[in-house]
Amino acid sequence: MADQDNTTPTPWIERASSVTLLVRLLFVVSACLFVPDVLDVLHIGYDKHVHYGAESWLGFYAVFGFIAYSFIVGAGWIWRSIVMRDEGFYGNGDEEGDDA
Amino acid sequence: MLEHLPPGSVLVLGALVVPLLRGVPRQAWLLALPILSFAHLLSLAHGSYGHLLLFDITLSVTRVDKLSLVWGYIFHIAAFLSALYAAHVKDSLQPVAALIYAGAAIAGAFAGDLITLFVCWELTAISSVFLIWASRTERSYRAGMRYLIIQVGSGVLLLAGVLIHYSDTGSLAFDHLGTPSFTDNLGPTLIFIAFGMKCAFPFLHNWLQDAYPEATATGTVFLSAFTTKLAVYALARGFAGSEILVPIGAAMTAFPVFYAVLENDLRRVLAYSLNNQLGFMVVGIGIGSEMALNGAASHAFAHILYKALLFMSMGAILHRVGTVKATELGMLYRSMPLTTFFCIIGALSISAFPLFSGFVTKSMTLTAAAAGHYDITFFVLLFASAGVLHHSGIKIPFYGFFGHHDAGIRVREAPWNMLLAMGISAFLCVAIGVYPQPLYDILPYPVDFEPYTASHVITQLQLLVFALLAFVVLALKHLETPELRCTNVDFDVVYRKLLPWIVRRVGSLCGALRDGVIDTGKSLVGLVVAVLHFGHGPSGVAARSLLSSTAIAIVIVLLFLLLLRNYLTQ
Repeated sequence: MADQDNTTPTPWIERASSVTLLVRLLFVVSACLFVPDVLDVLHIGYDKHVHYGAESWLGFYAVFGFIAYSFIVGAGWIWRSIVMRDEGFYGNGDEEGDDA
Repeated sequence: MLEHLPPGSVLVLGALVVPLLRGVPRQAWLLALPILSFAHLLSLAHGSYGHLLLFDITLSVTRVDKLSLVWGYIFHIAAFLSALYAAHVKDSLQPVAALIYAGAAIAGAFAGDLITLFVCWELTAISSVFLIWASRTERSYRAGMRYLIIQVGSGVLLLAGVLIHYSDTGSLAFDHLGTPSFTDNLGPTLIFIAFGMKCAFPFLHNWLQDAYPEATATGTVFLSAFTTKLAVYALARGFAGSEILVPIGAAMTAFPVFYAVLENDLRRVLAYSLNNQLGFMVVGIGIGSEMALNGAASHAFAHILYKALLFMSMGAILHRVGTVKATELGMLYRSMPLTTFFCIIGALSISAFPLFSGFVTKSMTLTAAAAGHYDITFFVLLFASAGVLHHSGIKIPFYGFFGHHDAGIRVREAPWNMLLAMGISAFLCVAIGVYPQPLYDILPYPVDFEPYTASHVITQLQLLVFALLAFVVLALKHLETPELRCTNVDFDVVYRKLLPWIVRRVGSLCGALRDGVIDTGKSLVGLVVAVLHFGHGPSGVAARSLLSSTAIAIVIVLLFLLLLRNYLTQ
């Protein structure tokens, strides 16, 4: 079913230069998304609708998203050290099924 | 006449014909049934139908109103898409089980009384387990048995609660059942726990991650749509506004995130993700305001579509490659570009990016939480939103179709029916995101919510894009959690390892106790035998023969002692 195909050129998305470009683009978009919060603090053309005081802090959602994601990954490392067992821990075999 | 048939019954009855059909007629029949059933539903006006007399109790089998219709509509759409996705399956067992399962879930969503709900509840359990067993592996058999025990157990608890509730109130109507309380409201409390088992409340959730990844590629798509969402509907009908649901739902959104990050089996990742999404709905039901209930209902609607789409994309991989373990996959997008595209649409939808369905539904629950001053819950939901991006927004498409290396897998694109089902699902995810008004129009309460405000769009993008940035930074620093072939122990270790271990230990203790009692008994019997042997054995005292002179001497001594006694007492 599966066979190796080495004749095709490396697709655009897999090239190192493309990955670098996408990462830089993400940094630019992230920086741009900070601008509205600056405008909100300066009261120029954008008013962030908030329910809690913390939400009005400069870049609250951006920082929250970054920290939350990093926390999940960091906690994952610790959690794995606690809950990880062998693949056959429950001893039910390892075969997978599909449609008949 | 047709109004006496409960919605969904067309699917159940139509399923019985399926084994008689083959090839194209069968495929056409499988696709026609959800459409016919939907037409039947549309023919019903709001109200109660199908009144039956059971002993001296009048049952109201069908109740059509705005709340039940939301579930009725989306269940029919899901049944059609799942049937289309599974159209290539030749096994007769699966479509029969799937149609009965879908029909029972639909009928359950329209149940006007608790007995009808119980019947549908159990029918969904019994029919759906065949979608797990259809994998025909030892793992799926065992997982199916565990699934069945828990699902039927939920039904038994439901029935017990219903009977207690009936004896207390004399009513079997499936309406608001009050606040759960073991001391004041036992019947509804048991019903609440039964709903919670099916809704995968914390510590009652592991059947979901255990069973769904073991079902067939197409079976999991059906499973993802009905069981848990029927439970969400039941909670919305019976326990809206129950405060206890808010912390339960918040916990449901948060804890699966930490398991989803570790899981290697991508369908199990989606099962944890499903748990997380259910949490948002449960929180909305617990808050109980009109906006929160609208949020829960609309989120259930959107969720069924994008979750089915994600399970479909993983099912397509399983169908073509034979595994969905992240460690085995890599650069599959080259072989399955359309499936990759549809998966990314599903990932964007569940992550709640603007212009996708999750954005216009989930935000209602968040806004309702903030408006209701559920401060901690609001921030937990915000945290969980970042978690969703991690496991469903990034991990599923990245490890399913890209990964860090080329695994060398070259397969054909998914079959046309799978692609069509994924394409329609993806279209609906985008359509709801771009133009949510038709969805808002069918919600139980008038919608006073505008998702596309500048503030809302920008804050959501900030949350998601910076979480994405964290992923990139951590990946560049090689700090992301690697995918490993392993088992991650969850609460099911209690009944899969701990309880069997306790039973074995108690059994061996009882065995040792029994052996001890038997050994002691044997020793006592041996002692008695020895004593008797000493006295009455062949050479025992009692059996020994004495000389007659000795006997005469003993008699003389005894007579002398008697004489002496009489003399002394004179």
